Amino acid sequence: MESLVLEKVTKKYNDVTVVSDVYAKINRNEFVTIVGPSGCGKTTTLRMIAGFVEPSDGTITLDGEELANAMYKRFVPPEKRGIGMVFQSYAVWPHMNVFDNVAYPLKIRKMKKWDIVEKTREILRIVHLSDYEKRFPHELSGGQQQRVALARALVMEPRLLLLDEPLSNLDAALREQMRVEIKEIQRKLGVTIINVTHDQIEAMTMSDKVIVMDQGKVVQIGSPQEIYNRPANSFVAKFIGSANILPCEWLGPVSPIKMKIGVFGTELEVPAVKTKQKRGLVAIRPHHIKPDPNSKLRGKIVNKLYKGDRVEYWLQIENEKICMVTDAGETHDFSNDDEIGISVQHGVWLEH
Amino acid sequence: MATIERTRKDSFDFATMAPHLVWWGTIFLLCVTVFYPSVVLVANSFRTGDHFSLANFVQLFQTPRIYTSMINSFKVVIPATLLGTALGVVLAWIVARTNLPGKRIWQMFLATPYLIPPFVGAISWTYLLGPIGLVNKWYMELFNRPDPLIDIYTIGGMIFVMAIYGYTIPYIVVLPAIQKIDAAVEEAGTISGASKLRIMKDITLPLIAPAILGGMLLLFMNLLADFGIPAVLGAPKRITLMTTQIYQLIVNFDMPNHLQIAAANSMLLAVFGLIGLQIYQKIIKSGKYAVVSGKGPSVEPIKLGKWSVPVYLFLMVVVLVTTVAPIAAAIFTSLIKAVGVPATLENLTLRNYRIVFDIDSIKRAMINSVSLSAAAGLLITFLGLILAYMIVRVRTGTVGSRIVESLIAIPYAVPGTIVGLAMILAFASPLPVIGINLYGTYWILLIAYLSRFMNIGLQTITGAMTQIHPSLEEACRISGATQMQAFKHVVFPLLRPSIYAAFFLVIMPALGEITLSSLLWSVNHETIGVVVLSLQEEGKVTLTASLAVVLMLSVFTINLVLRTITKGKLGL
Repeated sequence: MESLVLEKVTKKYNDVTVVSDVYAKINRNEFVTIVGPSGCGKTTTLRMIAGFVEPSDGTITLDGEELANAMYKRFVPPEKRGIGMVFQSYAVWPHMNVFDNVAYPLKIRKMKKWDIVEKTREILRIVHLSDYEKRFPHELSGGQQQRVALARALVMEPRLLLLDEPLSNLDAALREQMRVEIKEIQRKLGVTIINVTHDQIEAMTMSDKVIVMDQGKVVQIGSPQEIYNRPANSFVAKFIGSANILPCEWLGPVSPIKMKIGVFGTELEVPAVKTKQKRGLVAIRPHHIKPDPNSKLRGKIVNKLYKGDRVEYWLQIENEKICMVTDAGETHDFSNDDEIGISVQHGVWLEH
Repeated sequence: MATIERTRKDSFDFATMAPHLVWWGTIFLLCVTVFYPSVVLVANSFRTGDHFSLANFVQLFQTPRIYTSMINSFKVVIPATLLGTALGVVLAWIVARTNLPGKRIWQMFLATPYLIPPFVGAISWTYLLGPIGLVNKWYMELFNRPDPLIDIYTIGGMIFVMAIYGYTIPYIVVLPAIQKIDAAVEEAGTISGASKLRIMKDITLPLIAPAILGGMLLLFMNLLADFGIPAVLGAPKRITLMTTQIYQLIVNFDMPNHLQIAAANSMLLAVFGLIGLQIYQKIIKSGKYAVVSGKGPSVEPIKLGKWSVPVYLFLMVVVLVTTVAPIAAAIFTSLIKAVGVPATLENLTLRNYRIVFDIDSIKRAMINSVSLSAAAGLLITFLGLILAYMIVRVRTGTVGSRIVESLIAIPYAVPGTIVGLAMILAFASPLPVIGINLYGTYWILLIAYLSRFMNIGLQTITGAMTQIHPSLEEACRISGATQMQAFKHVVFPLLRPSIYAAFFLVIMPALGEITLSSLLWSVNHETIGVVVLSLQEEGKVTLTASLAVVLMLSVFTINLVLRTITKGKLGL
């Protein structure tokens, strides 16, 4: 069921368009991640949903209720939206202890004292902070402050929870742990979550749906698998996972779902796409390239990087440098300057 | 989430409008109290009779008294700046880089002269080095000489007093710069084979050079603008510096066109100040500071070893000369029955203090100074809080913000004498439209104090507010709080120490204010500074001393309160 709907959402600062024409539908209890490089407009989009930024155009609707409508200058202030948010800097208030921080949204809503205590204790238990009620933020670690911020955002049972890169300030191990915990909490409480990140791994592992943004525009919306296997353009292909983007030509259809393209003078079958162009680009994931002694397609190894579980080879073919990844355990062991044959197992046609 | 307001207009209320009303109100007030007087001052400097010309400026250089005062200013201020800077840098280096025992106590003592109003310092020194001052008297009695050893009422005396009170400015600027030097920067010198002396010359000094230069310029501008020291020490022999000469011109009603010539003289003084400010900002913005602010461990302190005794002696002499001796002299003078009586126990009395609190004009001046300072402090913190919120959060980086900030900075940056003159020129005749006459009232003093000290309050609060991350407020909003509630629950509690600090940072200089007061006071509207200065000129030595002691005590107490409130972050 649809919960949040963005239509034509646009933000301009004077002449600079930061977010342009964003359409998105987010279902109830979905975990959605907006991902993109810094400056792509993802944080501005999130802040428009929260109500800190007024859209210059478009509408934002939550559960059928219009939160922002630029045309009619309707704008519900953030405090009236019933949304929870975890900030990148946590924004835990330094002059309040853990309990007061978390209880604040309930106090503002003038809830009964006993209910406040009960609800706050309950949520603190869920984020594993029951023993820290009386601590002040400066007595907590980064991870614990993060949990306080999460508890504060969840305590009033929001319709929607916004996460503004909350994991980016944590170290790698803690980040992994928090990812698992946030997913668990989401399952337990059943809350719609919109997460903003520039970390593509976070986007892929946590989300039901990924929204990829670039230069203020949404470039693709889909499940992590769709995004990875069928990137909409070369930006998505490069940003989500790594990919070799190579020039190619359209040769003809093979079946309703397959078509033939030519790369470096060899033929390759890729998923069929409607196109009028004869020349295009093909995105090939490094692990979709395999050594093949019988192949006519040959390249010279110019760089070899050992990565523990895998080996990354950089091959020179004609004027292009392409990347191939093999499992470290495999028997072949090439050296720099070796000329080897390779075959491509999978690729995706991209419009030029 | 029962009811949700549909439009922004629904949430229109006075609470959200109030800051905007204050904002536009302040802009209007700034136009009346800063912009208008500035324009009037500039216009007057070019006015002779009923036409505009450069005649006033020409006359500055043709009137020997005025011309001499300019020469005197530089004769006094340049050597005093150099001496003060040298002293300040050496002291900062000793405190920052050696294993000096009892550092905290030394630091406190070394910064103390910063708190003493300069004219009070000058008065205290007359008790030691005036023609019948204690030191001169001992010298004449001991060696049986007819003439005093040193006469403080000279150019040299001014240089001396300015240097020993002024060194605190470069000291306060340079000390953190030295403390912040990354140990690795010097260790890299050692590993390259440089000796301790070479490192000092090739690495340390160049690194702190911008701080030294900056501190020196600040001191130069401060001394050039100072009125109190030349007013006290120049009066007996009629030695005037630029500030005191402008004052003389303003009060010299016999001279035709005297206010216009004073305005021209002020413009010249302001130009010197502005040139200094320009160079200062260039140095600050040159980015050379960036190298200094390393994150590495601080440098291993230098062991004083056999140098401990000379260094200790040096510091003791400095503290004795700058702090202990003048304060002791003032206290002693305030306790004797009459000047010149031998210092025996039966000649000591507390009578002077009783008289101080008995004389009506003095009592009134104290009440005036306290009420003016408190009113200025309260108004400035209140306005400062709202303005800072507007500048930092609501109208961030707009032209309006910049205009407000510079209009507030001007009366603090230019010498007080100029501010006073501009106020006289602007408000001596009844105000247009409303017809109220401000000159000769209590209110002109309050307006002058407000515009002079607003900058201190605003800077303190904006500084603290920029430290509060906007997301702390946003977290409040998203939790369901209105902008007003967010301000009340988060911004205000976090700012509280800085708000108190702003209040005390304003009343400290306001209590001992003398420059504006001596131009704008009127009968019934005197301030402590005015009374101290006139008592001093009348030769009522013991009374002056007791009032000076009361003033110093108040300032020290406020400083102590300030330190306690801000947990040592502000105050000395």
